[in-house]
Amino acid sequence: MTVADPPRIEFPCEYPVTVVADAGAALRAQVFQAFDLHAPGFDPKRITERASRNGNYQSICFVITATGEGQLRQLFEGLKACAGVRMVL
Amino acid sequence: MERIRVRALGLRHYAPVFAAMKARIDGDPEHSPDEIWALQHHPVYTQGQAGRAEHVLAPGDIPVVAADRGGQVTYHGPGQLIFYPLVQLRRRGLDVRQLVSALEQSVIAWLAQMGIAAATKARAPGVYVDDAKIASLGLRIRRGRSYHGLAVNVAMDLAPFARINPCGYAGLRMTQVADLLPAAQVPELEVAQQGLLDQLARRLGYTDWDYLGDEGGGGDGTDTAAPDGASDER
Repeated sequence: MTVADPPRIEFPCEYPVTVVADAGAALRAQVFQAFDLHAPGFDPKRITERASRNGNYQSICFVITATGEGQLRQLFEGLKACAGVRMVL
Repeated sequence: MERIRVRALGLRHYAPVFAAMKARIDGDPEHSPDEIWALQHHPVYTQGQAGRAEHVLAPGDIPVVAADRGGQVTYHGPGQLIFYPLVQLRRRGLDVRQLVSALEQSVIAWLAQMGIAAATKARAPGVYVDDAKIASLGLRIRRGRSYHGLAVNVAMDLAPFARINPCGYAGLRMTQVADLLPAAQVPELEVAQQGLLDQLARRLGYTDWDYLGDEGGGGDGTDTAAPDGASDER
């Protein structure tokens, strides 16, 4: 059996981005900066922040209108470079 | 022509994925599209909400993490394929029972393609080959959306299951694809993942599935730039 080249989503599209970081990291300002740079015009009403149940993590969810894979790659690199960030997806 | 989005996350620690899943469920449940997260976990025991501690016999150096799903303790590790369907049930016209059935039937159909006869059991969720369990289910519905999901044993070390009562059953035998087929016929994990996604997408009422962008695609088995090992939430 071989691995088929799987289909990819088409752009532009609504794309939810979730950032998980250590609790206590100054996440919000850094993350907003990355979004301002790579996904300008995102709707701040479509942002959810929460802390994990035992308080070890905090997370921020954004929904952006993604324009292409290049934009997403740059956005993800910018987000992963933020201090305390554990995972971006 | 509706296609479900798939994020292939590779090999991940449990806790950050769990945190991300909960964040997504609370994020935008009414309007954001359904997704399936396809991944593997580093070795971990996860305990269900009503899970009883006595079923965790001798975890040793493998961390035990509390998860807000139903069911008892189970084990996850590399070589076991995990699928987390984040699905708005009403929008798909599904209830929980139908979702469970869709997941179970996906595994049964995929195994049948390889000539493995598997079945469900009454009152014991999961998929079984003879009396041995090959796939486990644990689900949670929140704000109308499902999370947690399905774990399919493909080619893994099954020994850690002997250190718990899997799913709360003492002596429950676990099996996997690699123990049921000649080595040359065991699919590569990436092939297995795609085969299972084909089944899952259709049984959730989609025509097909797409990998979601660059980060979601590939599934190269690595964590992202931020190493999430040492100080993990466990």
